[in-house]
Amino acid sequence: MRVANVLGVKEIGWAVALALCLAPLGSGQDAKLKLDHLEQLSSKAAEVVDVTLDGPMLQMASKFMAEDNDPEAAATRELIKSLKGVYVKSFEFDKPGQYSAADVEAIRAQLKAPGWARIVGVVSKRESETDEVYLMNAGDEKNPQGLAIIAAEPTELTVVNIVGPIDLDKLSALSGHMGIPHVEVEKGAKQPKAAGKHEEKH
Amino acid sequence: MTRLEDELRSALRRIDPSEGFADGVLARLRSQPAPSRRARLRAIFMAPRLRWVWLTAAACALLVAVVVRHREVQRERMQGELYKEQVIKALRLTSTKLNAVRQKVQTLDREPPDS
Repeated sequence: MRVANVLGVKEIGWAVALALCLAPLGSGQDAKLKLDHLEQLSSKAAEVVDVTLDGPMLQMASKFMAEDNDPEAAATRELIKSLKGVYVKSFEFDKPGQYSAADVEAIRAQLKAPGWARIVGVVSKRESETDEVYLMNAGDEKNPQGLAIIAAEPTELTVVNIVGPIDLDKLSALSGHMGIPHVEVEKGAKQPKAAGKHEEKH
Repeated sequence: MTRLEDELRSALRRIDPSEGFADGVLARLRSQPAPSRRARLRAIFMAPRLRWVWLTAAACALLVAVVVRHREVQRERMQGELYKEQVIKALRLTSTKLNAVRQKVQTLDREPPDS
């Protein structure tokens, strides 16, 4: 029996419209993390880097980079032009114990959502350091739609969240440009090789 | 008395209007349509005395608009530069952290498994 005979054309039309409306919600799998709870650490930190740039702000930055007529600025512009947000919170403390495990766990919990995959996790118990890199694949492993980095040290906590199609090759191409240090990105090396006992593999 | 004076006096002598002249003038005024509100306003505002006032006011308004726009552009530029700096700062930090992770992974790779 044809579906149209059961539901009627009008109902199917409504269903299609509803599906089109809800599609962005489903496929969006928003890569933006909630980092508001970290703001309380600002008062305890000796040094704070807080960058919050959403789409329009990035577009404006991109526009001003275009005015520079500088090839290095052009490379950065190329990288950020399709991004929807760049959020960085970095705190440096004078002494250890200024942030809690719960502060980090609240971010990790968000990264357990579908779409996110931890590509690197380095836990150094000796140094009490944890470094984790996550990518949001959203069904397309070659084109990540988001990047998250958690770098936790006794006197430093850094969380990076980049929302939008992030091209790691382009990020790599920025090496040395505009004071951006070199990043080596190995193609197809998203699954880390076997390593020491402190390294977690995913 | 000269002849010229006589001629002048004769030319400038008072002559009463013909009968019904005043009624004719009033009738003619009544027959003409009253000026529209717009025309009356225009007559008030475009009076020669006021014309300079309006021109000065328009020039001032234009000047204010130019100054406001200039400030807006300047503010936009400052914001853009700030966002640009923030983007570079964020990418620099991201890059530094990714490098640090890469180095740690490489160090762990080189370490013997039971160390």
